[in-house]
Amino acid sequence: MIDMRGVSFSYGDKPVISDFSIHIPSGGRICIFGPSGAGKTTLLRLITGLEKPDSGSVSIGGRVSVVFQEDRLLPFKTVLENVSLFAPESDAEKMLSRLGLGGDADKYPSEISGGMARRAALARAIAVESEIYILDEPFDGLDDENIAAAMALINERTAGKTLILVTHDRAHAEQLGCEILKL
Amino acid sequence: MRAETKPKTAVRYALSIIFWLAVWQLTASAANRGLLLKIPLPTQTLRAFFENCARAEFWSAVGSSVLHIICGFLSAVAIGVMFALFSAHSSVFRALSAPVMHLVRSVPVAVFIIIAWLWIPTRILPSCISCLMVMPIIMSHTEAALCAIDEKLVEMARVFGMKRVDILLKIKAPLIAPGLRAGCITGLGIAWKSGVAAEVICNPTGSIGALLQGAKTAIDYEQVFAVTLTVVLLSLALENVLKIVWRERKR
Repeated sequence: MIDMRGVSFSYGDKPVISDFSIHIPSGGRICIFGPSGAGKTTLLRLITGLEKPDSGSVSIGGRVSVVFQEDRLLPFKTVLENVSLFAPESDAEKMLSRLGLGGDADKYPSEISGGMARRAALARAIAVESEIYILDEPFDGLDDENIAAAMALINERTAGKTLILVTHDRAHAEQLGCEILKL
Repeated sequence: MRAETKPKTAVRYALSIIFWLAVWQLTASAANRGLLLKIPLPTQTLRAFFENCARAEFWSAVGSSVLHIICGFLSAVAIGVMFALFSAHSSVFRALSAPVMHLVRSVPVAVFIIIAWLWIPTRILPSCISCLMVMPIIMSHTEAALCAIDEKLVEMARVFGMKRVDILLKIKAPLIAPGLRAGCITGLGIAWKSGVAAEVICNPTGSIGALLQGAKTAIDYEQVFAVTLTVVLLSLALENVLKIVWRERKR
């Protein structure tokens, strides 16, 4: 469950979000659409607690897993170590295998491609048992085959859980059964 | 510039040493023939060195100096890391510590030794001087590494619910490790130089510095060179031990 009431937020003098309210019940799935600068990332930062609203309230019920806009993999850990940072290693191995990274688990982030790093970031988020999953452009840089594998895994792991997706592709939102939220 | 393989670099380094030993041999032979000044030959220095190695009191002096300098170095690492953490998180601490660090870096080590000798007992003075000289190096390297940490990684850990202490130990510590390692390797050399300088000036009984001072007083050229060779070899050995023990992890 995510509940935001009358939330306003600004960077300095520049208001980004004004008097925004939304209630996403447990198991709700939404996809946030909007042009660059519309406040999508700020909204996610408010939900994850990385920013505090200037006014209004944000409350979330349960643990949160996030795929950030950037991969944010630890450079001194292997792909498997990154994915198992917050989840059991057996789960991490399964996620990597499902996303086609089973053979690259012992590589370091500097040794893999951008698409592989994206899948590793997705595996890290999906491997964690959470109540809320926030996925910011999770398919960025992936080819169709990998998107299909990622999509199947997301659907499987987030069934019955709250999901917030940010993507530019409406088809992805529909395949994940998300309601559209336009900013 | 093309990267060279390790064996090739080692061969080139060994050849450079042989070249400079030859220069030493020729210079010493020429100087000794003209009686302008006495310079011990490499062979005489090596003989004096091996004679020292056969003496128990020599090893006792080596052990004592190594212990004092290692103690000073380790204290510098502990204090330097702690100060770097304070400095990275407090602008007041950073502002207050900046002039002190500049002072330590710019004042010659001999001046510090003389001043510290007014209050600090001779037996612990080399440790204190090593610590004082190395601490700013460790602090600056660690602080630079702390400031270079990608905050997005820390945010990621926070969002996933990692505790503060785990963020420090599992995220920040490995990220600052390469910078701290570089500071330690540089600092260990400085610890040796400043620690032996303190020993030479304040002459604690049974130390390498005291051996050097004794040889100089006795105008024993071979012994002065042999003890200097000991200092160089110990410095190299400790630096390599540190590099082996604390290998940089592949990333």
